[in-house]
Formats: sequence, C-alpha cells, structure tokens
Amino acid sequence: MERVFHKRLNSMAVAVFVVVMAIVLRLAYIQIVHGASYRIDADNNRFRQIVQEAPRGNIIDAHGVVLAANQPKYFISMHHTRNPELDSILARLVAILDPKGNDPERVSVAEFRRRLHAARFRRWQPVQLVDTPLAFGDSRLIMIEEQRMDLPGVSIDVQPRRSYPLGQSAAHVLGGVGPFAGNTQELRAWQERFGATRYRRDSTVGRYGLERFYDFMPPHLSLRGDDGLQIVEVDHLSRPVRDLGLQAPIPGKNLHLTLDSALQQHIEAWLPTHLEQLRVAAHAAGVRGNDLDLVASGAAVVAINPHTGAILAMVSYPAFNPAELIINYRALSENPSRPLHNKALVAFPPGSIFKPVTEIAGLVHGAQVAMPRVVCTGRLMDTWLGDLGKPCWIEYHRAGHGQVDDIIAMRVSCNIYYYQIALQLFRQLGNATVMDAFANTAAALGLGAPSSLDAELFGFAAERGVLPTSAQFRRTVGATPGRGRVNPFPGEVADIAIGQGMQTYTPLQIASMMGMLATGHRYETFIVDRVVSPRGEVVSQTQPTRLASLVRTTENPGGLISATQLARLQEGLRQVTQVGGLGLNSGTAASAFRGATYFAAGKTGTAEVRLGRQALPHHGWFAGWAAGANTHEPEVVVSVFVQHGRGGSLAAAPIAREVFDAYFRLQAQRAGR
Amino acid sequence: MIDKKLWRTMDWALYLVYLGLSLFGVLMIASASQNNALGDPAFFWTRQSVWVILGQVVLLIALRFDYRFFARMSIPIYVLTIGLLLGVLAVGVTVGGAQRWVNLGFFTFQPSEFAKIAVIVTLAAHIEKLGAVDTYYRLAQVILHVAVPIALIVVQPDLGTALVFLGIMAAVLYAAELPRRLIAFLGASAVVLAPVVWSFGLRAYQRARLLVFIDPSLDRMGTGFHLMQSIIAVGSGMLAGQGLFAGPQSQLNFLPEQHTDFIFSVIGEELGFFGTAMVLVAMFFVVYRCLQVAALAKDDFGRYIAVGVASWIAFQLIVNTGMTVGMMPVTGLPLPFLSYGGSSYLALSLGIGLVLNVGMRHRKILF
Repeated sequence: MERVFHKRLNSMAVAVFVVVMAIVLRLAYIQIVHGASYRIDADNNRFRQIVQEAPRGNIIDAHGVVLAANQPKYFISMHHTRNPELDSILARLVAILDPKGNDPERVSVAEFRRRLHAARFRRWQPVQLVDTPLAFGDSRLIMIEEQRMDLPGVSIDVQPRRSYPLGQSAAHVLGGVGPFAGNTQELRAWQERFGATRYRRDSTVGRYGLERFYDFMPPHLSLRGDDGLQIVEVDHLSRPVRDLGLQAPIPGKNLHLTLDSALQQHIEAWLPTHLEQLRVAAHAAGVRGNDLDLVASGAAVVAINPHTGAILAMVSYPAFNPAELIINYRALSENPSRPLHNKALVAFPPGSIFKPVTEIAGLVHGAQVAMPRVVCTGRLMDTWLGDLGKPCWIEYHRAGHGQVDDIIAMRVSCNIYYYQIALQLFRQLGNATVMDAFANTAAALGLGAPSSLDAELFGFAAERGVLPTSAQFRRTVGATPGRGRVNPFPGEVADIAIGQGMQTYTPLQIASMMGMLATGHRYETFIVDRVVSPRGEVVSQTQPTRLASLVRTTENPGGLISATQLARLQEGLRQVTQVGGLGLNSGTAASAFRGATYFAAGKTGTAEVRLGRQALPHHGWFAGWAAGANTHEPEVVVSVFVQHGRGGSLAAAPIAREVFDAYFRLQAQRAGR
Repeated sequence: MIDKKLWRTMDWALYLVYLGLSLFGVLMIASASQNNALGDPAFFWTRQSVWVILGQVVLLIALRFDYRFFARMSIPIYVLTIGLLLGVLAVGVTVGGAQRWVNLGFFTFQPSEFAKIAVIVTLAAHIEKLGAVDTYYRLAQVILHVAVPIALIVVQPDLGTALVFLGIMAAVLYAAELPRRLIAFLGASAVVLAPVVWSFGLRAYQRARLLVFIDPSLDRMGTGFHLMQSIIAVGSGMLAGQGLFAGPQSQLNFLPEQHTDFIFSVIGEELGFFGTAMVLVAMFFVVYRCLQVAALAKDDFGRYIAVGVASWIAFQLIVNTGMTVGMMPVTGLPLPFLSYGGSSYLALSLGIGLVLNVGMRHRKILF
C-alpha cells in the first residue's frame, strides 16, 4: 500500500518536472535562439517613422526666371486622440472650413470620422481631413490658428506642392509630377536602383519631361531631395509617446536651363493666333471637313544657339498645364491632337528642307561638276529615261524656273535641280548605293540620330526618325508581299532628293542640321546648363560638345565639303529670304522676311502627307538662322514645323520671322537695361 | 499555541521560497504597472504588498491548529463554499463578460479562488473517509463532490478555473491509489465527452481562444495579437533581459493584463532567460516540496491536502507560463504567488500554510 502511493507521488513529480523542463526549453528557444529577432520585432512594434517629403529642386531658366518651384500648401490634419468631445471638435472645424455647408461630402463630421477611422492602424500619423489644400493667407487658416485652444488635436500641416509660376509655358520641357499610383513595377525598378527609402509608394515623382528625367538621377544630380524622417516611439495603440528626433529633409538640386523663358513665352503667346489665321486661310481656300480639322493642328518651334547647341526655346503646340498633368492625364492622352507629345522630338517627313542634304551629297560625289546648271521646264526630263512624271512644284504656277544653278535652285527650291543631282548620282553610284549616299550625308548633318534630349524630355517613345538607307528600303518596299524589290526605281531616288519618300526627322534634328549649315559645326543639343545644389554649389556644368564639322580642313579631313562650297550653300540659303530680280524667282521665304533688319537665312519645306492613298494637307517647315545686322555671325537657329500647315512659306516661315524678331528685340531690351 | 518542536520541523526552505516568490511578485507588479490606465504607478504594487502581509497572517493562522481541525469542519466549509459560489452568481460584479467577483467595498473578492483550497480540504476529508476509491460508486461520489463547484464556476463563466478543479481532482485521485481500471474509465470518458463539451459546453469566445491557440494568425488583432505580443516580449528579453522597469513591450502596454495573467511575459522581457528559468526552478521547488510533504504525511487527509495544493500550483504554473510562450491556450489563469490579485494570493497562502502544517506534524521518521 505504501509503495503504490510513493510511486505515484514520484511519477507526479517527474511529470511536473518534464513539463516544466519543456517550458524551460521553449523559453531557451524563444529567448536565446531567436531572442535577437524578437528584439527587432519589439523595436518595430514601438518605433514609427513619419516621412517628411523633401522639397523638390527648382527649375530656373537662363535668366533666373523660376519655371518650377514648390509652394507651401496648408492641409488640415487631426491627431488621433481619445478626446471624448471629438465630435464637437470636428463640428467646430466643419463650421470654420465650410460654414454654409456647401460641400457636406468632403467637409462634414461624418466624413472626418470616416477618415480617422480609416487611418486607425496608423495612429502615429496625423490624418489629413481634407484633400484640397488651403492657400497661404486663407482666412480659414487664421481662424483655425485663433481657435487652436478649442480644437485640440487639430493641426495645420505644411507640405510642399509643385507649382509652375508660368502656367503652361514650356510644359513639354518641364513635364509634371505625380504619384506612382498603381505602377508597382516601376516603383520596384527605381527602388532597386536607388534604394527602397528613396522611392515609396506614396512618393511624388516626376512623371514627364525634365521633372521625370531628373527625378530618377543619382542623388547628387536629382531634383528629388532626401526625405526627412521623424522617428516616434508609440504605445500599443500606436499613439505617439515620445519624439526621438528628426532627420531633416534635404531639398533637391536646382536645374538651371538654357531656355529663355521670355522668348519661349512670346512664341507660345503668338503661335495660336498665327495657327488660327492659317485655318481661316485654309477655309477661304476651300479646305473642308476632316482636312480642315487637321490644318495647323499642331506645331513645334525649336530655337538653339548654333555655337553651343544650347536650346533657347522649345515650343510644342498644343500644350497642357503641368500642374494638372496627372489629374487630366486620361483626357490629355486621348486627345487626338496629342497635347502630351513634344512635337519637337517627333519625326515627320522633311520635304524640301532636306534639299541642302541633297546638295551636299551631290558635292561629295561630284555630281554638280557634270551639271553646274540645269534647265527647269517644270517636269523632270531625262535624256535616256524621258519624262519621269516628276513635276517641279512651280509647274502649278508657271512653266518652270528656267535655267537654275545651285544658289538659285536653293532660293526657289527647284525640284528639277535636285532631281537631276539624284539621277546623276544614280548613274554614278548605282541602285542601292545612291540611297546610302543620301542617308550617310543626312546622318553626317545630324538627321536620324538620337539626341540626349530625347530621353531627357520625352522619357518614353522617343523617336529618332528614319533615314532613307538601302537597308530601310529592303525592310519596307523589299518586304512588300509579291512586289518586293531590292533596288529602287530612279523616281524613288529622285523623291528622296526632295525630302519625300521614306524618311522622317524631328524638328530638333532639323535645327541641329541648320546650325551646322550656319556655323560649319554641329553641337550636341542640351537644355540643362547646370545642376546647382540648394547651397549654390554647381554640381554639374554642361560643356558644349562639338559633334562634327562640315568643312574639310587639315584638322578635319573627314569634312564633306570645302569652305567655298559651304559659302555658296549659305548664300543659297540666305537668298531664300530675299526677293529675286524683277520680282521673279524670289526666295521661298522672301515674303515672310520682307523688311527684316537682320541677316536671315534658311530653307522652307513642304512635305506631302498621305494616309494610305488619301492625301492630307501638307506639313510646313522652315529652318534657318539669323545674324546680327553688322556681324553676319549666326546667333540663333530656329526650326519650325507646322503640322498640316499646307506649306512652308506661308505656315512656317512667318513663325521663324517672329521668333527672330522677338530674339533681337529681347536682346536689345536686355542690352538697354 | 505551537509547540517549539514543531517550529523546528517546519519546512523553512519551502516557506522562504514561497516568501521570496511573493516579494519578487510585488517587484514585478511594480515594474509591469508603472504606466497603468489608472495613472497611479504605485496603485497595484502597494495593494499587492498588503496582500503579501495579509497572506503571512493567513498562513500563520493556518499553522496554529492541527490540520485535523479542517477535516472536522469539512462539511461546513463545503456548504459555505457552495454558498459563496451561488452568491457570486447572484450579486457578483461582471468584469470582462464574466461574473467572478464579489465587491466587498475595500476588496473585490473572488470566491472561486477560495473554492480551490476549500475543495482541496473537503475532497481530502471525503476521500479519507471513503477509505479507498475503488468502486464506480465511490468514484461517482468523488466526482459529484467536485462537479458541483465546477458547474457553478463554469456558469460564471470561468473555464480556466474549472479546469484547475479537474486537475486537482485527478491528481488527488491518482495519489489516492485509484485502481487502473478506474483510471482507464476516466480517460475513456474524457475522450468521449470532449467533443460534446466542445460543442455544447463551451461558449463561442472559449472555442475561439482554443482555435487561436492552435493558429494565432486567425486573430492577429485580438487574442492572437496578445499571444504574439507576449511571445515577442519574452523573446526580446534574450538571455539577460532588458532590465527592470525597462521592457518596452511592458512599459508601452503592448502586453495585455501584464500585471496579472501576463506577469511572466514581463519577467521574460525584463529579466531574460535567467529570470524565467529562475522562476520556473523556484516554482518547481515549491511543487516538489509539497509532494515530499505528501509522501511523509502522517495520514491520508494531510497527504491529499499536500497533493491537492501541489497539483493546484503545478497546474496554474504550467498553464500560465505555457500560455505566455504559446504552448497553451489563453485561459486567464494567474501565475501562483506572482500575479497581481488578493483572492488568489490569500488562497494560495492558506494552501501553503496547510501544507506546512501537514509537514510539521508528519510522523516520526526513524533514522
């Protein structure tokens, strides 16, 4: 008897011992083996980080005018409290914010309560009660400040908001900012590249233009600053208990552009009136229906300094308001006139503006030696091939240009002259090679080449244009099912010579080409002059980069033409703006430049546009340069493109004239000051 | 009153460990309740100090009589206990959905805590009187004895405390040499009854707690949240703890009921593995000494009292500490001697006093 209960007491002691040991082992597992990770969990439990978004860097033009800045906006916020009088506090706030009860959906006790409730798991953060900010000086802000004692928990949060003081000006250059929205993939990509703390789901980031490109840059070059962090210790209800210090936000870097905002704004203000006049003229000329809707529906103007490549103005019409880019994104992206496209960076068929390339291609291969002069009868006649069915544009007006040389041909944009160069080259070089001769010359002048600005300003879908290479010919015509050809017909080569056929270039590339014709040198175009830290240190300064020179010298043996040849080419371009002898054979831009007090040269272009078999109104081009009255030294190059402008002379050249006038007027004003 | 020879035979080690645990409890309660909802950092630890002092008085009273006195008083004690448990249902204060307390003005009194020691004493007397529990009829009598208070406590509802009674009954029956066939019968009954109790005997929140115990992620913001916070607190203590009064989980109130049910988590966080292991060793020592007293007791009554108190302490120790480290469901049983609470502490002191009493008056050992 005694033995049984002793045994049982023993086994009870052993059982308790075993269970207690199991608990001890469990404790060792939790506290010793995994203690460190639980310590981290405990810290995460009680520390919360409140991000303070850093102000973005400003964007400033060449003369110190601010194009993009941050404006403080005031948001009404509420801290989580356990105040039993919450409803009456909120009611008081509603009475201040919306005394007439106009907007009960956004300003009401119920809505505020809903917002507080929605944020109940993030109690360490004040809750924004109204989405729309109040501006500085709003009387309601003052009332809230005055009644602060009666509004416990209510605070006014100051947050930087992006603002664009010049409104729509330079919209395509500046771009706009917005949240990542649902774009998780993009967010992850940037986080991988720049670190998880630099980009967060709720970050405001550049969505377009320079805002975008200079957001996703290494921190020392970025518009994006380093966000500040406030670390608070919270209790189990996530209410702040203690402030553990603030890591102050560091503002982003300022961008100083080469842009002249006065010039830019002048063009932007003047352009729509001119385009409207073109539409009126088109209507008067009998253009109707869909064609009339297309006339002058878009335009691009680029002004550069030909000695550096610096962009002085870049206008794309129609534009948008950068401050409302994200709000209106859907409407903007669905608008058929494509206001989001920076047309200065979109490739279009060049038309006659390509003729200087043909001229140079002919000079390179000696075509003009065989035919210094050509007789224009209005149609392209070949000794062997006969009438090729290619007219000169002048045929619509009169019989022909008569005898033309290189300078007259350029002045009057005589198709026949350039057709003949093409045929001459066709005979010398043969089928496909002749296309590459044109393409290589165009490439040497900067056409069809990507620019660093494409990425900076466009960010996506940047177009580099299409060069008329033999490879391109094989890809397109050569691949036509059933009718594929390796070699072009002579007529197709002739088309290329006058800027038709399968080639497209951007207004910026045309500007770059014209700069090279003006100065003999081509520079990399750029728009950001320097990146400056908030303290004023220049972090990065753009140096003009000379990409190529046109004239063959001992230093530049690869130059395409001689100095004399360039001078003749320039003379031809100058005469484009001049009235001819006896009023006949005037330059194609003569009327636009009548009375100009400065030296102006350039080339018009009228590009045929087809949609399938349907002919649409022609595009209009003008590109040229202007020089001071005394110096004859090229100062500014302008490239103008008018979408369906119905011709270069009437649509584009007057815009260039206006830009040159404004340029010199502004220069005089600045000199006089 | 007490023979001087008896003082010499008293188990001083057991008493000192019990007292040490009690004082340690006051310290931990002070640390755990520093930032309490009442706003008075001293509120809880000063009250617990009073309970500890009163506990020594209760213990001394329990030592004054020969414990056989309680055997004679068995029936009145039982009747009084049932009366109190009925009373709490009639006039009790409802706290947290359960009617467990009687407000005595100066003190909210929890009859179920005193019922534990009362049932131990009366059950011991009952089984001693039965001689041996070797028939189904006698087993039924014993079960009925415990079932009445259990039923009254389940109705409150307080599942955890009811389970303590079952544990005590099982331990005492086992020590009383319950025959194997009856043990098998009890085991089989438990297996058969468990699903029935699950479906009909448990309230929804009790079922939820058990489910959450099996998978804490079921309820991250409720019970599961408490469980996770408790494990995080214990784990973050690591080997040596974050220091008294310095455990962030406890001080920032991430732990639920940290001065009562989750005091062990506070110990884990602030004193680390050293602290928790020390508490478990001390507690096991108390249990072990009670079982030793049982082995040496001069009669069955004393033996069953000692076994009852030992199983009581062991059961609550295991369930409470097991709960804080995620090995047991969240039941709301206090940790003996350490958790804040007068009723629990005084009842336990009475129990320890009776065990010491049994030990003092054990039969002569012949060396």
